[in-house]
Amino acid sequence: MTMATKHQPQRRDPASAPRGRGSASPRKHRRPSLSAHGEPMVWLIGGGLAVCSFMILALVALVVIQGAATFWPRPIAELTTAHGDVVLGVVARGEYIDAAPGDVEAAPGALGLVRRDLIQVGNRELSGSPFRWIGRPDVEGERYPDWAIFAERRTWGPMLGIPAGFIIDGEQVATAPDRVWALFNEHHPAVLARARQRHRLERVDSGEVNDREEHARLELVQARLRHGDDSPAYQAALARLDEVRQWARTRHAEIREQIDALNDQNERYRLVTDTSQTQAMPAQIVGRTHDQRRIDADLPTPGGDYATWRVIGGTLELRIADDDTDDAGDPPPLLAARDDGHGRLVQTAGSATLVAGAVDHRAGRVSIELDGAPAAGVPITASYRVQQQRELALDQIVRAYPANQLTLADKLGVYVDRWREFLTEPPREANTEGGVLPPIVGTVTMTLLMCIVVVPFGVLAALYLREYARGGPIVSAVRIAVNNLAGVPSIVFGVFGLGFFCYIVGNFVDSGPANPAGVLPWLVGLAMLAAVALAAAGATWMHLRTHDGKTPAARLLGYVTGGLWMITVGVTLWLVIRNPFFGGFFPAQAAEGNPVFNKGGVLWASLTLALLTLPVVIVATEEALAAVPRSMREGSYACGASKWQTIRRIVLPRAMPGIMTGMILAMARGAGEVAPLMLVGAVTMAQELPVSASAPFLHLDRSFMHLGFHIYDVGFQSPDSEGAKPMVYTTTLLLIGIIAVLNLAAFFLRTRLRRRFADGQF
Amino acid sequence: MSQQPPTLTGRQRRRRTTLRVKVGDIVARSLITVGGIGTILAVLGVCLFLVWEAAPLFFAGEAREQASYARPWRDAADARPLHLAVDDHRNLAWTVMPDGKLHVFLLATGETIDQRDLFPDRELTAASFGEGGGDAVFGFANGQVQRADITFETSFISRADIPAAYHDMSVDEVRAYREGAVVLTPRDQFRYRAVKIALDEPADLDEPSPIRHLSHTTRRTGPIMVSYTDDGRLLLSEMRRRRNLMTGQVRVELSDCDLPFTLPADRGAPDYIQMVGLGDNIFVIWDDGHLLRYDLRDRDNPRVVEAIDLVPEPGETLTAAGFMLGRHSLVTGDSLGRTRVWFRIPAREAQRIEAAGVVDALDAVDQAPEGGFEADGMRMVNAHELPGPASGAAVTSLGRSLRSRMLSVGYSDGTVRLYHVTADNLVLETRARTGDAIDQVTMTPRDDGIVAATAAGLHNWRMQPGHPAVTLQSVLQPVWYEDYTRPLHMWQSSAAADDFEPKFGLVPLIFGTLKATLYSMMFGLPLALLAAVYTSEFLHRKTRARIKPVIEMMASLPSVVLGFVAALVIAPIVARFVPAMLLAFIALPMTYLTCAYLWQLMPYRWHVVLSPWRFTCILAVTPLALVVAFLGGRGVEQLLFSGDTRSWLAGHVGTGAPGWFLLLLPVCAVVVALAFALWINPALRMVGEHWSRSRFALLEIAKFALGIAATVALAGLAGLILAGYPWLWFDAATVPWSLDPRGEFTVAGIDLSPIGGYAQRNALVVGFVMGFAIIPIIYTIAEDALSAVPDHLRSASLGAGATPWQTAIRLIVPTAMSGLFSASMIGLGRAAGETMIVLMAAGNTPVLEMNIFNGFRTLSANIAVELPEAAVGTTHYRMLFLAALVLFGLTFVVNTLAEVVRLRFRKRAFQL
Repeated sequence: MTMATKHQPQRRDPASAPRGRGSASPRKHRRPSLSAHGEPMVWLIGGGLAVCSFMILALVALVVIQGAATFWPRPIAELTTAHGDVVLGVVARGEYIDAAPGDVEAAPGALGLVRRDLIQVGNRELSGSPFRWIGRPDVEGERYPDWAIFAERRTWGPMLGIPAGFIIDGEQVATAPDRVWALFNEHHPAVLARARQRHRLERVDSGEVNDREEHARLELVQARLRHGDDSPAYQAALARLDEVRQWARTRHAEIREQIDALNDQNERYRLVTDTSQTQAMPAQIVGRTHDQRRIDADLPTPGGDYATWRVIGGTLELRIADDDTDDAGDPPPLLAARDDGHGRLVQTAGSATLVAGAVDHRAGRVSIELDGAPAAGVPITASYRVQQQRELALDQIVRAYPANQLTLADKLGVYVDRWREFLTEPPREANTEGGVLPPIVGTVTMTLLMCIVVVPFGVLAALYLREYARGGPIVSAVRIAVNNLAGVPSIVFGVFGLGFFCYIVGNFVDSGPANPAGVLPWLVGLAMLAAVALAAAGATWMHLRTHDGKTPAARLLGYVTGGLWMITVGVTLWLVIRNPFFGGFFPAQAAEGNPVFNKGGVLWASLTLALLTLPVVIVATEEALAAVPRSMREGSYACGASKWQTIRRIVLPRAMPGIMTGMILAMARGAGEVAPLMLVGAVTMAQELPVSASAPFLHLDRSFMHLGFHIYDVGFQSPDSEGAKPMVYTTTLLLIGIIAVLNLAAFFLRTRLRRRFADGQF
Repeated sequence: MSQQPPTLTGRQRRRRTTLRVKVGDIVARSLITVGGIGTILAVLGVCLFLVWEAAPLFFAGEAREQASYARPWRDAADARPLHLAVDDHRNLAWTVMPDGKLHVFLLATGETIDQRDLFPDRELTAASFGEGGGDAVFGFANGQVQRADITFETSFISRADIPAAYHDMSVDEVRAYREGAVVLTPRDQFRYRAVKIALDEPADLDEPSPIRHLSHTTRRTGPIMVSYTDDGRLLLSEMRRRRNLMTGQVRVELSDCDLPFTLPADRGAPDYIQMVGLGDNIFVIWDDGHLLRYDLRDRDNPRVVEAIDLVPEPGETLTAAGFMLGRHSLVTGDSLGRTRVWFRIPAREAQRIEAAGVVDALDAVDQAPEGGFEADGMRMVNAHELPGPASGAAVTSLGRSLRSRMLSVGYSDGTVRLYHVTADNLVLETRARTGDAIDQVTMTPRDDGIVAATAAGLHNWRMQPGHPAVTLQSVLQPVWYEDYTRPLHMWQSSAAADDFEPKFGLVPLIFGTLKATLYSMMFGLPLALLAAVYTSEFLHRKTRARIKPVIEMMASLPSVVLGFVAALVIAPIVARFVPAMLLAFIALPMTYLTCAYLWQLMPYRWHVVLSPWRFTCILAVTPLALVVAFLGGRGVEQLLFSGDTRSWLAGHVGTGAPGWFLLLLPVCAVVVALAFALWINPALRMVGEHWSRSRFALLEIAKFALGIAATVALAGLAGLILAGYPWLWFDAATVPWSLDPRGEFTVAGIDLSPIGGYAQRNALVVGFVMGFAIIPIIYTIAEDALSAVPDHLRSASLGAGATPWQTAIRLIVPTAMSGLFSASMIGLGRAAGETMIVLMAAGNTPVLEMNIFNGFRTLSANIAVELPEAAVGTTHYRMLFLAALVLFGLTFVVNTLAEVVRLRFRKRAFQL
C-alpha cells in the first residue's frame, strides 16, 4: 500500500511528534484506514447518478425507438392456434407474462413466464376490436401469405386481406391477386388525385362561400342590434343577405356538381378483398332421437358487420373433443362440411352423416342434425372457417401494400411516405391516424405569438431591473418575486388566463364594457384626463430642462412627473373599461351565444404562456446584461454617449446572444406546456387552422390544436387506446424533437455568439 | 483666435448635448421604467386576480327589503297563513288561510288579484303542502281529505292580444292582468302568469272524525299520507287517483291502515306530525320536545322504533318543525331560538360518534316501545345546531330552500335569519321593521328572495346569498353532509342525483398534493442530491461535461410526455411486477455496495489504474441489479406475499408481518449502520491497523455481510412482533396487539397506513415519474451550489490528508448545505404544482389515504379537470380559483424560502 509507505518515514520523524492532539497519544497516528476512503459510500452516491442517467436514457430510448418504428411496414402473418383459430394480422408487440392457471389469453395449461403477442387484425367493422392477444405456446402454425395486403382506409382503420377482384363500372375485370394488384396500382393514384381535388372543393371553395354567407348574416344581426328592425340599415343588410344567399346557392350547386362528377368517376373503381377467419367454438350434442342428434353452437363473434363483408363461404369441422390424445394420425373428423355462402351446409367428409345443417351469420348460430353421432353429452370441438369478401371503393383506401412482398427499398418508401403524411396532413379517425399538421401549425403559431409578446416585455423588465432601478430592498424583493414566479405551477397561469383573458377581457372585446359609465361622468373623466395629461406633459418639460441638476427640487419634480403619468394611465384605463360609446367589436356573435374572443383562443393562449415564460426571459436577459463588462459602458459614457445611447449601441448588441437564448428557452418551455392550454384554448379537434390564406391570415380568436394536448387527447381520451399508442409515440417523438432542437439551438447560439463577442472585452 | 484649439476634422465640436439625444434618453428611461415596472406588476397581478375571484366566496349574503305592505287578506287578521308560495320570477304569491281561503296577490305591491274560498261547504282543519306548495292535501272536520294541485302557469301573450293600456309597460314591470300578473320581458314579450288550481274529488276516511293533523309525501307509486283524527287515532292512508275516462274527473280512493301504537294518553294530542320524503318514517312530535318515530317500511307492521327528547332543557318548548329539501332531515326550532337539524343514521355509527364527542348523546325517553328502541337500527342525531338571535326570541317559522340546503328561520321578535345548514353558516339576518313575530317565512324558488308574513303585514326581501355553502370552516374542516354518518372531508363538485349537494372540502385535494409531493420527493430527492454530490466531487471533469447536459435535458421534457409514459407504459409494468419493483429499491443499493466491497479487494495498483473507470462500472452494474430484481421478484412474492401480491395488499391473504418487514427495513439498515459506525468500525480499525489492504477488504466484506444479516434479522423480528405472531408469546391468548400495515390507521379522517389495496394508477408510479420532472431541477441547482464551494477549501482539506470522501462529506456538503436545501425546496415547489403527470397517472379520486398503491387527486389536476366545465361566477368556479390560490400560496412560500436561503448561501459563498 503505497500510501502507507509514504507515511512511514513521517511517523519516525521526531519533529512531527508534538503536533496537535496527535501528540497526546502516539497510537492515533495511524495509516488512513481503507474505510476512510468510503469506497462503498462513493459507489452508493455514484449509483444515484447512474440511476438518474439510466432513467433518462431509457426514457429517450423508449420514445425514440417506439416513435421511429411506428411507421415501418411489418409483415403480415397467418397464425394457426391450438384451438383451431386462424388469425391474419401484424404482430404489434410482444410481452412476457406470468401466466396463471385459467388465463384466457395465454396458452392453456402453460404456466410461468409466457410470451404473448398483440396481433393487429384490423377489419374493425368485422371483429369489433382491431387487436387481439395470442399466447405464443398456443401458436401451432405460422406462415406469411404472399398476397396479404395491408390497406389503410379513411374510416374503420386498416383492412387486412387478400385481393380477390377488381371491379370497373360494376364489372369484375380481374380475380388473380397479381392482376388485381397491378390494376390497383394503375388506378389508385388517379383516384387519390381526384379525392384530393374533391376535398379541396369541399373545404376551400365551399368554405369560402359559407364564410361570405355567414358574414352577411352577422351584418344583418349587427344592423338589427344597432338600428332596430325597421331601420333602413337593417333593410339594406337584409337585401344584401338575400343577394348573398342567392349567389351562394348557385355557387354551392356548381361546387356540388363538380364534386358529384369526381365522385362518379371515383365510384367506378372498386377493390375486392377476401379475408378468412377461423373461429373455434364450444359445441355439444343435444340428444334428440336414438340415432339422430342435434348440435347447436354459437359463433364466437356474432354481430360482425355482415352488410359490408359478404360471406362467400366457409367450412365447418366437428371433432370428438378427446380424440387428440391418441397419436395414430388424424382420425377422420365427425363431420366436415362446406358452407355455400347462403347458410346451407354441404357435407364433404366425416364419419357421421349430415342430415340437415344451417349457419345463421346474423344471429351467430350454427345448427346441425347428424345421423350416426355419439350419444348426447359428448363434448365436441367445432371450428368454423368463414370466408368473407368486401368491395371497397378505391378512394376509401389511403395506402395499400402487399406487406410480405416488399423489398427494403419499398419498405423505406412506405416509411418515408407515412412520415410525409404524418407531418403534412390533418388527422383522421378521431385523431388516431393520419397526420398532425394542425397541431404542428397550432403549436408553432401559438409559440411565435407568445415570443412576440414576451420578448419585448421581458427585455424591458430586465433592462429596468439591471440598468435603471437603483438597488434596494424593493428591487431585491422584486427580483425574488420574479425568480419565484418561475416556480409557480403552470396550471395557476392557466386559471388566470381563463378567468382574466377569456372571460373578462374577452367579454369586453366582444360586447363592450359590462357596466358602462353614464355619458356625463365619462365626459368629465375625459376632461380630467386631458387636464392630467397636460399637467404631466408640462411637468415632463420642466423636468427635461432641469435634468442635469441633482437637487432635491429636481428629484421632487421627477416624482411628481412620474405620479402624474401614473394617474394619466389610471384614468385612461378607467375611461376605456367604462366607455359608454363602445359596444364591443362582435356584439352580433355575442348576442347569438357564439362568442369570438369570450372563449379560449390562440391569442389568449399565447398571452397566458407569455406570462408563464416571462421569468425565463427576464432572468436570461438579466444575466446577459450583467455579463456585459462595466468597462465598455464606462468607455461609452467617456465618449459622451447618453445612457440610452450606451444601452442601444453598446449593451444591447453584446447582450443579444443572452436575449436570444432566453427567447429560445422560453419557446422550448412554452411549446411543452399543456396544462394551462387545456383551459385557454387547446381543443382536441379544430376544424380550421389559426392561420389561413384568407382575409386576416392570422385568426387570433380560433381555438387550436397543440402537440402536447394532442398527446394527452389521443393517449387518454380515445376509445381505442391500443390503436392510438403508435400515434402517441410518434407525436411524442416529434414534440421532444422540436424541444430538443430549440434547446440545442439555444446552446449553440450562446456558445457561438459568446465567442464572437469574447474579444469585445477590454 | 489662435486660442481656439484646432479640431481634427475641422468641424466645430458641439459641447452641448442635443435636445434629440436628451429627449431620447428621457423617453427611453420612462418607457423602460414604466414597461419594466408594469411587466413586474402584471406578473404579480396574477396573484391579485386569483384573490379577487376567490374572495367573494367568503363575503356575507345581502338582503334588501323591496316592499312591505299590510297583509292582502284583511278578513282574517289574526290567523296565521297555512302556506305562502311565490313563483320563480317573484311576481306572484299565494297563501292559504286556515279558513280555507286562497289569496293571490302581486308580490311587489300586495295588490290582490284573486281571492276565493276553496272549500265553501266544509270546515278546513288540517293541511299538508308538498315541495314548493304545488301538491297539497287538505283535511276537514267531516273526516274527508282532498288533494289539490296549486301551480303557477306561464303563457306568453302577443302585443296584439293585450289591451292597449298595457302597451306602455316598461321592461320588468309587473301589472295585474285578468287573474294573474303580466310582465314585459327584455325580449319584448308579455309573460302572463296565473295560479292554477286543480282540486281532486274529496275522499272519506273509513271512520269519519275531524282531522287534526295531516302530513303527506308523494312517492313514485303515489301520494301517501298520515293523519291524526280528533278521536286520537293515527291513520296511514295511501291515495290512489283514478281518472274517469268519460268525465275526466279524478276520483281519489284511500286505503287506510290504523297505526297500532296508541299515543301516550298523558301527553294529549301531538303538535306536529311529519312524514319523511320516502314515506318510510313518521315523526310524531309534542311541543315539549318529545318525538316518536314510526318505521313504516313494513307496511303491514308499522311500529315505533325510537323515542327521544328534542328539547332537553325543562320548561322549554318546541315551537316549529319541518324538513330540509328532500324531506330527509328533520328541522326543529325551540323557544330558546335554537334551530336544530336531525339526521337519521345507523345506530352503531351514532354510538361511535357519541363516544367520540362529535354529537351530544340523547337520552332515550322513559317508555320503551315493544321490540325496544332503534329496532330499525337507525337513530336520530342532532347533526347541526344553529343559534338564534342574541335576544333569545323563539323560532316561529321555518322555510326551506327549494334548490339548496338553505333554511330561512323566522323568530318571534321579527328577525329573519338565513342559514346554510350543511356549512353551519349564518348567511344573512334581517328584520321586519314592525318587530312582530314572523308568522310564515318562505324562500323564493330561485333562492333570490325571502317573503315573511307577520300579523301586521308582509315583508319582501330581495337577497343575494352569495356563496352560502362555503365558509373557511367548511373548506378546511370536516363537514356533516346529509346522508352521511359523520362529518367528513369531501370534494365532490358534480352531481349524480337531482337533490345533490356539492361538497367543497379542499382538504382531500391539499392532501393529494402533499401526498404526490411526499412520494416523489422520497424518490427523487435522494437520487438528485447523491447524483449532484458525485458529479461535483468524484466525476472526472470531461465526464461531467457530458453527463450534466444529459440530466439537464430531462428538465425540458414536456410533462405531458412524462404523464403519458407514466400512465400507459410504466403503470402497467409496475402493476405486473410489483414485487420486482419493490425488490429493485433494495437490489440497486445492495448491488452497488456489494460491488464496492469487491472493488476494494483489488490490489492498489489496479485500483489506481481503474479508478477513472469507476463510474463506467457503476453504470454497468445498474442493469445487472435490475435483472436481479426482476428475476427475484417471483421468489419474493412467494416468500413474503403468499404468492399473490395483489391479494396480499388487499388484505385477503397472509399477515401484516412482511409489510412491517419491508417498511422497517430502511429504518433497521440505518440503525445497524449507525451501530456499526459507533462501535464496530473503531474496533475494526484498531484490529486491522497493520493489515494489508486486501486482508482488510476481506474483513470489510465480512462486516458488510454481518450488517445485512443483522438488518434483515432486526426488521424481521420487529415485523413479527408488530404483527403479533402468537408463538412469540408464551401463551397465545396474551398477544397484546396485532397490527397490520395494510389496515386502517385513521387520524383526523386520514388513513395513514402506507400500504393497502392496489390501484393501477397510484402514488408509486407518480412518485417514480415525477422523479423525471424534479431530479433535473434539484440536480442542477445542487450541483451549482456544490461547485460554487471554492476550490481552495478542497485543496486545503486534501492537503491536510483527508480522503476525497472525507472532504466531500465533512467539508463540501456542509458548506453547500443551504444551497442543497434551496434546491430541494425548488424541487418540492415543482412537484406540488405539477399537473399533467398526476392528471394522467394518479387516478384522480379524492381519497384521504396515504397508501402508496392507491391514487389521489391534487389541486392542480382537479383544476385542470373541472375548470373548463365550471360556469363563470358560480361557487364551483370560485372554489377552483381558491384551489389555484392555495396552490399559488403553497409554491410561493416554498419558493420564497428557497430563494432567501439561496441568496444567503450565495453571499456566504462569496465571503469564503
